[in-house]
Amino acid sequence: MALIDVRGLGLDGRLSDVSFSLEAGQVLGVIGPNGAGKSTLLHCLGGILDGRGEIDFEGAPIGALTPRLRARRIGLLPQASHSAWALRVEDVVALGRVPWGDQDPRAIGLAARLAGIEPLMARQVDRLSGGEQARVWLARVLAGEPRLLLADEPIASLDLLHQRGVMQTLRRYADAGQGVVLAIHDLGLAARYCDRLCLMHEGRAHAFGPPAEVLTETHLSRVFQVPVHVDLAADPPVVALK
Amino acid sequence: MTRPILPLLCAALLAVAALSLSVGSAPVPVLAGLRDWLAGTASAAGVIIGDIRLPRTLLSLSVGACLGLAGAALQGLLRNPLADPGLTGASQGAALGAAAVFYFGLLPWAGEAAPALAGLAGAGAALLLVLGLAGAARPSQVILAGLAISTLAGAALATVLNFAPNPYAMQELVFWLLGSVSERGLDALWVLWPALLAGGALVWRQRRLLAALSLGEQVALSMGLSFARGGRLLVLGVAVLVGAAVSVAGGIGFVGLIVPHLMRPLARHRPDRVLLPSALAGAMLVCLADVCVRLLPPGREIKLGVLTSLLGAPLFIWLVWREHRKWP
Repeated sequence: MALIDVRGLGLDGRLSDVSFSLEAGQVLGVIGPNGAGKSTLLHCLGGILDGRGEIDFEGAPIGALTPRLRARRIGLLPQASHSAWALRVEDVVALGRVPWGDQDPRAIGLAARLAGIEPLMARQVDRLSGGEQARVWLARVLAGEPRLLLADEPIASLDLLHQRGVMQTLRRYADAGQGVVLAIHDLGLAARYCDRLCLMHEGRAHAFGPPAEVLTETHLSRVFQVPVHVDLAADPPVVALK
Repeated sequence: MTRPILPLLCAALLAVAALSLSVGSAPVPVLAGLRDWLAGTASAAGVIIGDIRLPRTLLSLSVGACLGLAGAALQGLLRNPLADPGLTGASQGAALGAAAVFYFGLLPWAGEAAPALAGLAGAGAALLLVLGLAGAARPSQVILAGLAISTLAGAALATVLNFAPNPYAMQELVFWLLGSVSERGLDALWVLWPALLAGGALVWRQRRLLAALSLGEQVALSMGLSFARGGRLLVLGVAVLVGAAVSVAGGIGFVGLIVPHLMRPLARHRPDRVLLPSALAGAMLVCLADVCVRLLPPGREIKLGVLTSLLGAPLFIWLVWREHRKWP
């Protein structure tokens, strides 16, 4: 049984007839140019936007779940995270427990360990560097222990070290039996860490499948409208402008 | 960390209340006066404590609690440390509603509660207009929208004053608008306490939404919380609190702005945990300000609202300056 099965998902003018399914233990990378509908797709899956179409979660229609039960199963890390107040890191991570209505120290501690922010827990989040903050926002979602984690460009504007840290955390989370869907611009990292890719173009899923099927020069050149060089056999995989 | 500060704040509140009962132009034994008043014995001490200082103390505490809680809730909802019932048009809306009732005898069926109801409606309408104009998602816009709606409500209030039936009525209304808790009986508590309970309950039930909103509207929605419904309930709660406070005590500015700001470091900046401390500290602040009013030399008494504005405005300027330095 698929973890999530999406059929004919649409949202007026922004998303049209998107279908895919994802098994537990897999990372799905949503790729495509700016404005292709990546964030919209994630927001529809996360319950922020109301799309048309059918979504089954663990074999049952997602609409049957109350918003709170849905939030326990699907966690969303939005693109631009920011705290309005000078909260402590531990309080930010604890916010991940809001859908559960508890402050489970085990889940909060585990999330902090997975994201590698244990030494930062007593610090104020607004005094951390951008890379440290990115890991804190990720830990907040991990604390909710969602079956499916949605991350909207979680490594945008991060340095190489923090990019690797966040990608490895997401990979490990999927390997532990959960599902991860992330929007990502770095196609090399997408090839390296994702099991499935969904190439979005003008609100539609232009291609879906394993990286080798999606990251072809033909697909990428058509969607990004630039000549692209692809070498997935290299280590690490290379996807670059020609 | 919040839990230890609540008992401390409660103890400080009791001390402030005791101080308020014992301060006045005539030295009066507080306990004996209270005993006489409760027993119905006609004594000077009983009259001064029971009929003058007790209402004043209870009213200032209740008005302060309403304003402190409303400020904390509004700042949490709008994610803006500069949000205040006075700066978002709520106070002016409430004043307009209550003034319209005083002048035109609106809502005759509501009797004594008419100014409070009209104040609630005015505050709620102003807040909804501000939210409609700015949207809570853009905190920087909210203050501008608040300014616009405050100006509108102020203009409408000026119109009401302009058409005052007689100069005495106008003078009475202006003094009321300046804000005071003197010369109001214990009856006013029948407006304030239900409002504090109802408004407080509405705000308290949305504390999870306030906490989640720290990270933005999208995060709150993705956590299964309804921003639209919860936000409206919070606005209603704030309107009830501000409407009741303004209809009883007139305009007492800056309490809702300053108090949450003072309490925030004690509550680890969590918008859900700052609610109760803000209510307690707001009660204390207004009561202390009223004690100061009574301690000033006799003659023409300075109005409570004038004093809180004189003290609060410089703090507000400092807050704006600090925000400005934070975002160069």
